[in-house]
Amino acid sequence: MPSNTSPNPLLTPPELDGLESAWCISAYVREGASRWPESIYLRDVTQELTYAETWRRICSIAAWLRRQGIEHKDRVVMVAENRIETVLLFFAVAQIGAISVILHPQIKPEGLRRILSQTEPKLGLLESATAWLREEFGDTPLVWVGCENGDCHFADLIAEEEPPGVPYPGLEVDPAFLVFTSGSTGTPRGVILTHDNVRFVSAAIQARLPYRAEDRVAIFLPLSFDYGLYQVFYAAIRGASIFIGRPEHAGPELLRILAAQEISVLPGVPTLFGGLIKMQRYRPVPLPKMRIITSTGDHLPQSYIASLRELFPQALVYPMYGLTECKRVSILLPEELEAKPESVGRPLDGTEVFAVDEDDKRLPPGEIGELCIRGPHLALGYWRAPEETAKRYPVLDGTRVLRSGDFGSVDVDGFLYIHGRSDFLIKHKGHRLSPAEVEEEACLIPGIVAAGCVKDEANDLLCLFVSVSESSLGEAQIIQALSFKLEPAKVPNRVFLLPELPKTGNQKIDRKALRAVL
Amino acid sequence: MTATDLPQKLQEILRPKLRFLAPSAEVPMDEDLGKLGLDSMASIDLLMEIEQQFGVQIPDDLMTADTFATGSHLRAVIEKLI
Repeated sequence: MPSNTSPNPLLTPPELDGLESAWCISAYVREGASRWPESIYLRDVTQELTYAETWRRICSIAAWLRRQGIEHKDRVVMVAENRIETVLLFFAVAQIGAISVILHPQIKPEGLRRILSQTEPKLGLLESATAWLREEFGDTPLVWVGCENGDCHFADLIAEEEPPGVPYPGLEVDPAFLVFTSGSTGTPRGVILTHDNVRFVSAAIQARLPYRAEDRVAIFLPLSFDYGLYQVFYAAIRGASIFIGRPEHAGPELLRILAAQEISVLPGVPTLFGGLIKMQRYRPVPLPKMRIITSTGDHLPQSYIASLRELFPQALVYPMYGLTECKRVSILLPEELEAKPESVGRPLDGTEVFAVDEDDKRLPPGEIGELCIRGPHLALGYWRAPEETAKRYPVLDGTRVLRSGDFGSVDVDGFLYIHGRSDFLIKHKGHRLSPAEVEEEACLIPGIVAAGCVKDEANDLLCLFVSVSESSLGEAQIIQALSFKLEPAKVPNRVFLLPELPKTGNQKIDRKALRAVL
Repeated sequence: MTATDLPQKLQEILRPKLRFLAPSAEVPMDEDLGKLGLDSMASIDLLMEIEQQFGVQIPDDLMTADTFATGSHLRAVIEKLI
């Protein structure tokens, strides 16, 4: 077992080609282009780009962004299905010191409006599937990808000639991108990740689960989700290639794509693996030689691990635990699985996790409390939300920590265990959601007086309890109404009508009492 | 199974899998099934049920996200197979 104090060779970057600017995340691709120029970096079903070509395009787009007057710390908001162009624009935005915001393509107009008013972007990216959200962008200039809409097409951003180098104008501690996630209130919050956050955490993760140059990594998770997005960094650190798939590919055709693309590294959430196992039992196909399977977002059941090992005998399975607010907390190594089957692993090297009691006092090993995290991977905070930032990143004992919102314990060997979630966050189908957001939307439906959202963990169902003034309002109607307002993963599976909802002493909905009703 | 039963049967199979659709509503055949609540896990169940109920096997090259995109796409594929 590696010691927590061993120096991490990956933290020392290769020579920066004499460039004087500070390190920024696009240096991953620049270095890749000098080390493995002809290796394939990005691929999808229709095209593939080498490291050298990817870097050339990023430089070209960076120069274009500069010509448009996009500056250091300006925001660029992208709403598109997973595609190579999003990755190219993302790195180009980083290179000029601006800040990327990649949003889920199924985002609803209300949610998008709230994020646009918080981020005030200088540029947007849309495609045909998200064109219906165009109005929300108002006067913001737009780039269109993969369709004939509008007058600025993505292809126009890439010049024929060799692009001039654009030096990164910022510091390593500046924001690189925002990842929007459910906060403790109903309003989604943008977690501010800096260049050095990414550099530290990517190196620490790669020290624990090393990818190789010959690896082919696949993502079927949306790029708006940091778990999907960060794969582009890990691949570039190693010279591996990355297949940019889409969530809808994770159904019946998933196994066929894995085989056709010869995928060797598959990051997923438990529901994706559940589908894969079911499909392979139903219609077995020859499987690729999978080397690494990683899982986060939810508890990975032991039965899934056993089935995955049976299907992919060479594969190493890594259960992990993370939060967007620091990206990754812990990774369990395959060789540790047998001794600590219920653990989510040890914290990343160079970081610390401990449980605290209700008075924020550190608890001894084995005792359950809220997990707090310390280390260079802690994000700057939430975009333009100082109060919420102060709440989630308090200073305890003179050092800044992240409150995970999860209840758990750390054993004497330093392994983490998750025992439950606090009331303000729910993990469902690998996504994190705020019950407050679902409740707020529900209360906007005419006829709903009060709403309380909880998860039925035993049956993996998101449940909403409501009291109504309109007796004609039924479960199906409420679910349908919410499906117009919330992204699919946030729409409850079941709605229960109660004459009155239980309240806590200070008149808030008592979610604990609701869970007891289940 | 005859071709004339197909639209009705497909409606019956689809409806319970589309959680954003009112239970009594007709499934809009050209609407994106994802928007009606079909996720990738549910589309695997849908595939199994279609194959069992219609006694067909959807060949590999048609087992794509596009086939499962709308009710009409599914119907066209099944019609070819029965």
